[in-house]
Amino acid sequence: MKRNYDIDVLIEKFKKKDKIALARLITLVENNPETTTNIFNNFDSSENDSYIIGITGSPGVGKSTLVNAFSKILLENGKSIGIISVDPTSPFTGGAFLGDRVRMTDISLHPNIFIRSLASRGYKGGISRAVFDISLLYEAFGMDFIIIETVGVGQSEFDIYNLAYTTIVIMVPGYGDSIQIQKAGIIEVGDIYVVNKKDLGGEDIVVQMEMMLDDATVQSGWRAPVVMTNSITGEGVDKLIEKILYHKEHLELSELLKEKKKHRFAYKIEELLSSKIGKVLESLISEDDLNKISNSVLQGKKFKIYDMVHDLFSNVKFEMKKSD
Amino acid sequence: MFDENYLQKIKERKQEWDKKFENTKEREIKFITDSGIPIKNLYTPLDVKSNYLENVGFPGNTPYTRGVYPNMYRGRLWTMRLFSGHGTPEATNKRWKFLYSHGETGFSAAVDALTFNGIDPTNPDGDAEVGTSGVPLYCIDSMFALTEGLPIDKVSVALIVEPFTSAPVCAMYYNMAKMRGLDIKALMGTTQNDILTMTVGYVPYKNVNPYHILRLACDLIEWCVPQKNVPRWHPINFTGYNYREGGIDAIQELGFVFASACSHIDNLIERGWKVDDFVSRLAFHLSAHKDFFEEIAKYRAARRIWHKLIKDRYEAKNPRSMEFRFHVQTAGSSLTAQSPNVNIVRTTIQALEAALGGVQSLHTNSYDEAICLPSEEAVLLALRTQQVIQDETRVPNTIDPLAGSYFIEWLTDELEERVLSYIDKIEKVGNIARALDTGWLYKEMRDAFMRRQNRIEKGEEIVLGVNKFPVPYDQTTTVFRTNKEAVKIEQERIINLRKRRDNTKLETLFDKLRKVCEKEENVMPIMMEITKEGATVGEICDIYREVWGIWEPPIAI
Amino acid sequence: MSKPGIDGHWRGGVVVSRGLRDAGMEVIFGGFQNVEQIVESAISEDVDVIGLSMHSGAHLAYTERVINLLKEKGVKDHFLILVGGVIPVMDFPTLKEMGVANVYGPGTVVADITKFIVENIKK
Repeated sequence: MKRNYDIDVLIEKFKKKDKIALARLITLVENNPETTTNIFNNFDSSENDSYIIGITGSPGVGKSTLVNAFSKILLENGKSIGIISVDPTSPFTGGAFLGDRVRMTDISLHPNIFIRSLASRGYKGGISRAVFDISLLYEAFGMDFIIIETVGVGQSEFDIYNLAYTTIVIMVPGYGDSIQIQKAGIIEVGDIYVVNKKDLGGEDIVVQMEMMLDDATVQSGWRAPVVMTNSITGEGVDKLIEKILYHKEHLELSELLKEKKKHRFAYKIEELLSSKIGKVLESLISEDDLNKISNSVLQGKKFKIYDMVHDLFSNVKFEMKKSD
Repeated sequence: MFDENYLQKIKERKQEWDKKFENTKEREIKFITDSGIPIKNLYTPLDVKSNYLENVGFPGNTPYTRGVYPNMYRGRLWTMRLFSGHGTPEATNKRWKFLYSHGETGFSAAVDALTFNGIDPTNPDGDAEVGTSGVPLYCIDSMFALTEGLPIDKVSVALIVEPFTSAPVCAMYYNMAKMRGLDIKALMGTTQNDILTMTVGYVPYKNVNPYHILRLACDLIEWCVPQKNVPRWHPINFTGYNYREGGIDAIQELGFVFASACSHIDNLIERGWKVDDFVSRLAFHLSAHKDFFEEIAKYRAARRIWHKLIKDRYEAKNPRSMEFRFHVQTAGSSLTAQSPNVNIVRTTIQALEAALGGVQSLHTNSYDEAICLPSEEAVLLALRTQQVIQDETRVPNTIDPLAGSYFIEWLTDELEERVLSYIDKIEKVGNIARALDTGWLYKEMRDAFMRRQNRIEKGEEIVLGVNKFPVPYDQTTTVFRTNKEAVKIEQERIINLRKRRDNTKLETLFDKLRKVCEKEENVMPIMMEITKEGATVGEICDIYREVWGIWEPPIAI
Repeated sequence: MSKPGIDGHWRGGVVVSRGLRDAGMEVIFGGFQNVEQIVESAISEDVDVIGLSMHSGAHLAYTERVINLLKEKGVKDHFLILVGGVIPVMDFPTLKEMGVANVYGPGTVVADITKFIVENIKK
């Protein structure tokens, strides 16, 4: 196997819209974060702005099939799309099974689309690091839309909310409707709610969702709509696209889009900062020190845990200084 | 079955014997059946719960435990039907003639993956698979080639398709028979038309939602049997064999089979038919697997359960409706690519299970089937295996010879009970289409497969040549190759047909099919018209896909 | 991991994929894919290994088509290509000549595949 990851060569090809180069640059930013600065230095910030859509929902609700269906329509309208499809990494083995492509074979060969599967890999701060970096690469590549698809479990739902401009939450009728609705109510991340797989009914859940959304406080002036779709026959998918575009327009007109973008970068900045600080801390405190604490805790000092961590810094002098 | 006092005496003696047994040593394995039923060291009259007249009875009498015919093999031996199909319809015709000349008594056409997924050979997605795993039957011309020179009016033919394409394939077959001057009202045969075959044993390629597939399967049943167009045909056989091959056990095999059958019956009753109008033509296809006694008990229990279901649940009046007729195939998944000769032994024992279990028709696997489609030499040996049992062993001389064995009767009762409770479990999820669409059946299959895999890896289930006395995967048999030219031949067949047929007329007929699909009308009448005019299976299935959309199976991975 | 063509015997491919995942690998499961889709996925996902699982007897034809398309795109050497399924031993040399790194027939233990991949992936 010969693998070529020469950044300069890849950038040159990338600028000529070469998908192989895009794929390999993604590998670099994903696996070797230290190359990211070098790669990003090749792009001008005035380059393309993509519109970012996030999609979340429990396993099996038909996210990928729906992404497939509405991407098809966007492609027909001459749009280009970059997809990031996130699946969880097993915390025990570090492995991952990424199966979303099974549902997206239809669109995978279109020249204006690029699909990348991503394992969550237990990043600190959820999926955001790699997803953010890949989304910047997609923007530099000139994608009109970026679609981030993730299983709605734990942290990743909030990550999506922080990274995307329009967040879509998908549900299916029939199983644990009230739990799904409660969850949707708690998270309140959706800009659009979708009830997928119309043949199994689903009118009930729509009514309940509508009621819940009516009660929810609407701060942004946007009342999230509920759309019914059948991702297999494609029913309701154009309605969904209409709602996405309508939300996009709403954000643009109300200047909320600027807020969303600011939020997206602020979130990243925060993450970069804490990772920097984390590195500084790691250089100050050895693994040995941490082991000592955990051992003492186990030997009957559990109530001293605050003290012991505090003491770690007793001989560290912080001196904040900006170099000129 | 025994006198109370006598049983008491047996009980006392048994306790004495138990003490004796306790002082002996047992091998350190789990004594259980393949489906996990614990097996005692000894069975005596104390274990027989059944009442003879009520639960066992006489052959040809309810509840049919001992067989569906009064004379069984004393009258007619089971049909020797070897599942075959490869390369082209012509090549398969040659194989059929070969087997017929060596004593085969029924034909069976295993179709290729393009035929049962409704893909034409001109579609590059699957062209490399033309004829590699079965016979390509894409249009009516293929049917003429398949049956050329064979007495299909006297010998029954099984068409091994799937409900997704059973309507066009059967319509092609019936049209061919009519054009050959035969009366299709007298035509004998079976269509493999079970929704579960494709969707649980196997992942379908670009098929439609199970709800539509269930309707297509029932359309064929309705048109053939209660509407009396091909009344002697078995328009469906519930194919436990295929799902069993996916790793489930004997209890689940029967559970799936009966749950599927009930869903089809319910559909036909909803259409306004009475159960006695059609149930006697529903057939079954089961596996003969590795656990010798459990499989025999399975066939006996199956007959009894079917009788009970049809009589109690559906209140059938005609006793013929309650007869469980079935075809058996020896277990392909028990064969190994390592030391293929051992497969001959495995198949022989499994064939004997079927014979002792009162089968109506039997397929025996060829020893090379773990690596390729069977060669002529291998398939002949498979046929001879059945002939040895029929002609040399005298096994068929008496009916249900294992009845009255304390063990067999106990195991039959035990299986019956466990299958009935498994059917309940399936039906809690809903009808079969729903159990599929929700992914429940896939999960059940996946878990069963993983359990079996685990047992094999731990050595709890022995596979000779693999986990005991392992031999390297090495070539010890020649590999039968299907005709490489098949793609070209089949593409040309279709291209020629398209030139010859009246394409304008077909366009109108396709429109008519679209409308029939959208409504709840039986597809068979239009299917007869359209296939006669030369529509291909691929073209017809494309209309299904257009009207109903492509289904994404919720596979448990 | 991909299933070229239309043959529905997914079990082997799924079991191997699960095994590789349990060994700590990231497995992108493609399911049914035609030759163009397999090559597109391999390139876009920038995978290390392409696994083709086939049980239809059409393994020679599909493997050859995949490899030819990879060569045409100039990326053949970027990947380690593995083939598994119901593959007769006599076809192993033919597949290896085409450029397949290893072939796995019936009765393969997943651990052997894992070991081979780990030993043969160099970055």
